[in-house]
Amino acid sequence: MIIEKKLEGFNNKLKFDKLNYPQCSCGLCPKFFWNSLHVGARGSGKTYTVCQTIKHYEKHKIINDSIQYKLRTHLISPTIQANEIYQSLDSLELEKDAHDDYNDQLLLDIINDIKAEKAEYDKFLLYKKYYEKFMKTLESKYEKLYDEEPEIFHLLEEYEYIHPKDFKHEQPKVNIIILDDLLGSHAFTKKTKSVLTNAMIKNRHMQICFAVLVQSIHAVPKNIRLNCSVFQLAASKNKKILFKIFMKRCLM
Amino acid sequence: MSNVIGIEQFQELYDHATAKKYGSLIIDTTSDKRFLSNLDSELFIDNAENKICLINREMPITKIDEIDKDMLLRPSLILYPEVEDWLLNLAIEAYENSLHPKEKDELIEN
Repeated sequence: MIIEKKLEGFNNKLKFDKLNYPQCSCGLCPKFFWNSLHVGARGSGKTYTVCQTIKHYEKHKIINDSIQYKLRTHLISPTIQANEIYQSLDSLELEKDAHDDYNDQLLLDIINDIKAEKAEYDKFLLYKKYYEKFMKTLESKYEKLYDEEPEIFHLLEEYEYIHPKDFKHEQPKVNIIILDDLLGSHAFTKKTKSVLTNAMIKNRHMQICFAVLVQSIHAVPKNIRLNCSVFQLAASKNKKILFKIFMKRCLM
Repeated sequence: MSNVIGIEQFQELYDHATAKKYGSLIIDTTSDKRFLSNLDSELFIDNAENKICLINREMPITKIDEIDKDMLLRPSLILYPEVEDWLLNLAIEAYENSLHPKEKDELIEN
């Protein structure tokens, strides 16, 4: 028999604000920001499922704090030509955001592009916050505000004190990066400084969802598997091995 | 009902979900752990009877048919720019019905 005795001084509840991510208005689909791993043989329906999911997000509103987010899809796949289904995605600009060959620099470029867009939107949010604070401050207290928070005036001056409504900015976005059929490329390297693994670990911070489509679960490094929160298992002949890996990760 | 399951039950879920054509088991751990059969249905194990219950959550996932229709519509918009969308959609629907006449008949009978 195990006796459990409560220790005093360790029952303090921590108070903190939960991170608030944009979510699909339907409330039934996987919640952002996920990493998904789709495992199945060729023709098992992996790409269909990913496209269905994205199509679903395209048709429903993605909202956070009553702000609607836009969806942007990026695709890295050496088999783009063979997968016409990708043409059905409105959020994927094939000419701009579809790439044949994976390399670390390409992924870094995509991530930097996403970061730059996010930074631009974050700047708008900051401007809006500063503008509201400035407008609420009495004219007699401007000097005090300048002494305490000069950055407010610096940013407002940069945009000539325009109303936030006139601040030109891109609509905020939720980004999905599809990595389809990248076995044999440099994507799934087992090196500790893998660009992909590092990006998948920080996906929520960068507000990116990764969808990894593979024919064999063995080829996917453990660190990538551990950082996935949605899994698709299509019919497989080696299902016992599949289960073993799977049970370790997500059910036990 | 519970989502805490053993390997036998997991195998049962997997076999159930993959029995149909293009079937797959989806495990969504983004909120509570959920088992889905092809995104549009949620699976539960009924512990009392140890049976899998398939509950159709009516998830508003876009059907593959819609994607196929969309892929037909896009080139037709370029080929026939003067024709209105609703008429092209009607033509595509007629074309799809001509490809699957049996399914349509079954629907009418039901």
